[in-house]
Amino acid sequence: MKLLNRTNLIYITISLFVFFFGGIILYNIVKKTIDQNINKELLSSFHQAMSYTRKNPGNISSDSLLLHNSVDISKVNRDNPRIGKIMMKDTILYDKIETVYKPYRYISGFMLVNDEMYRIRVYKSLIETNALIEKIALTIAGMTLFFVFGVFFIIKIISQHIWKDFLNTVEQVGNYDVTNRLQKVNLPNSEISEFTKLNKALEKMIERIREDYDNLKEFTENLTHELQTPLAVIKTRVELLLQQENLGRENAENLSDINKNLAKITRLNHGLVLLTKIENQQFEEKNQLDLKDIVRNQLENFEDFILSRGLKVQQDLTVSKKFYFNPILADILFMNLVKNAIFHNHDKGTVNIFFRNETFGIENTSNNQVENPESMFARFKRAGNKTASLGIGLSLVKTICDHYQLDIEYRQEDNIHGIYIKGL
Amino acid sequence: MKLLIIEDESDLQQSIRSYFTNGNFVVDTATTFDAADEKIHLYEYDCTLVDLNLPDGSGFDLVQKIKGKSADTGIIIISARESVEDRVKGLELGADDYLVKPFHLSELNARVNSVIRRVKFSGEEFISFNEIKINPGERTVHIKDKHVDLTKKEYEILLFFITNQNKVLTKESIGEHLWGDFIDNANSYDFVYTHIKNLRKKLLDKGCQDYIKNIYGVGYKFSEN
Repeated sequence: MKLLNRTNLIYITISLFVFFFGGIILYNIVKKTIDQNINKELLSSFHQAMSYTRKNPGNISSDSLLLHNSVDISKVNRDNPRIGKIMMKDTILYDKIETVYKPYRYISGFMLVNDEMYRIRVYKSLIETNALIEKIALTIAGMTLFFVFGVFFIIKIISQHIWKDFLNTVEQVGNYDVTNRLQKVNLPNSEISEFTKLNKALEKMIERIREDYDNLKEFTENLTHELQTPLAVIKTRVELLLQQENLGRENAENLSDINKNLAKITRLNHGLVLLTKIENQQFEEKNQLDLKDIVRNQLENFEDFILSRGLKVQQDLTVSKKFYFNPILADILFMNLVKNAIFHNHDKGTVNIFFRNETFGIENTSNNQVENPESMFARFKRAGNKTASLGIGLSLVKTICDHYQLDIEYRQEDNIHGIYIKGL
Repeated sequence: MKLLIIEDESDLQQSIRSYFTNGNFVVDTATTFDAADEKIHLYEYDCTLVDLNLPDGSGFDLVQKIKGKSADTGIIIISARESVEDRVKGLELGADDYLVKPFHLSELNARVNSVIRRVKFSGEEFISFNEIKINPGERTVHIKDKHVDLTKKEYEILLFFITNQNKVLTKESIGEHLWGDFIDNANSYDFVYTHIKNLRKKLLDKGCQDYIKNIYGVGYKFSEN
């Protein structure tokens, strides 16, 4: 979950809780206070009624209104078992005029005056107070919502402001591409010291990464370059040795093996040089090329091999595909693909090449099974028991595809191995 | 033929020198820009091999100097750098060929001979070895004046053999000569074998002696015995 969203979610949840329970408490307090008020009033009226009864024992008229409450004073039998203490109770009374039931609270008590037992009751309408409580409840609810959302927005704005620098850092670091030489990362000082600390540490780290990367590149370039000359020396010396008369079978074989492996090293080195160059953006020039010409050209190059292995080549290159490509890279790309399809094939097998639906595909029959299709493009991977084969070839292909942001996939179905490039 | 080798790595220089001295070349060497400059100034060469990375100067400048001095000196650049820009620059400055280290000596030999033929004889010189006569201009081969029909690859192999006569040629060098170094040797051996077999048959059919000797485990040698 996003930082600000989480922050806000927490704040809202807490706010809701706080204001909700606070609201409830407030409501109850208000209700209780109003209740107590009502009760006090009733009690007061009751005492007044008692006073009146004491003073006017003979002159009792029910329904006389004291204050604004209804009073009911009536004689009762002394033996009435209901005679007891003062009590307060809520009830509903029927209003004849408005033909509805209305809520009342009454206080009821008994009093002995001149040997007569009187029951005194005072009624108070609860309608107004209920309405009051309702209004207060609504107000509280409204305030709660107002506070919650108010807090929410305030917190949101404050958060955005506080975390602004951090979010900026996250974005920049996220976008950092060490291979992009021109990219500059800007992590300025922040008002918040932790962020400043973070930014400084990150800047240092990025610089270090860049340095390491550049050094590694340079090292690789130098290494591959430096290797060429000693390799040349060895190669030529071996060749000279081979010129000797009476070399002897064993010596000849040994020298031949040396030669063979030298060739391997040379090829690998050459491939590495290419890889580093491509990654170093040293093949920037692009022309608009008709890819089918390049493919056809490569097929011609390998004519000999296709013929002698009895391979059948099916082409569907009629759809003319023009693409902005560096011509050298295009050659290397398709050369390696064609070479792969031809040499990882069995005699009298087939090669199927096509441009279809924005995809270039090349498939070949093969008796070899590949365990991890995904790692086919990793450097130095081997397939089956063909040594010195995949090595750098497919890795070059992948690097070139990456360079032009083309999707490449290796699929193996039954005996058919296929490489597919999308986006062409 | 006079050859000048300008290469600062002395081991390599020695190797190249050995190979060519056993042929019909007279070889001079230089390991620095200044030494090379002097030699160029004083003498005439049929072909020069120029290394680009000299300690005290750039091979490109030497190429210009050589070209400036005489138009019929072949120039082959040998360099550790496989770079299109360098190649183009070299050729534009007047070099005749560009070979990337490491290379086979036999390949270098073939290139030197090719350049000399082109530059000195406008490609018209005939190459002969006993009863075999090759016309490089027309790419035709005659055995005792009878035309032999060879495929492109067979022709290349024959030319390569004769240029490097009496030298042991490894299968690798032949394979690389025919297909460049993008073919893995493991794959090309069979083809080399097949092509040579066919070539031999065609030559023998026309009454040619069998000069192609099989050197077990290594390759071939084209010699008279």
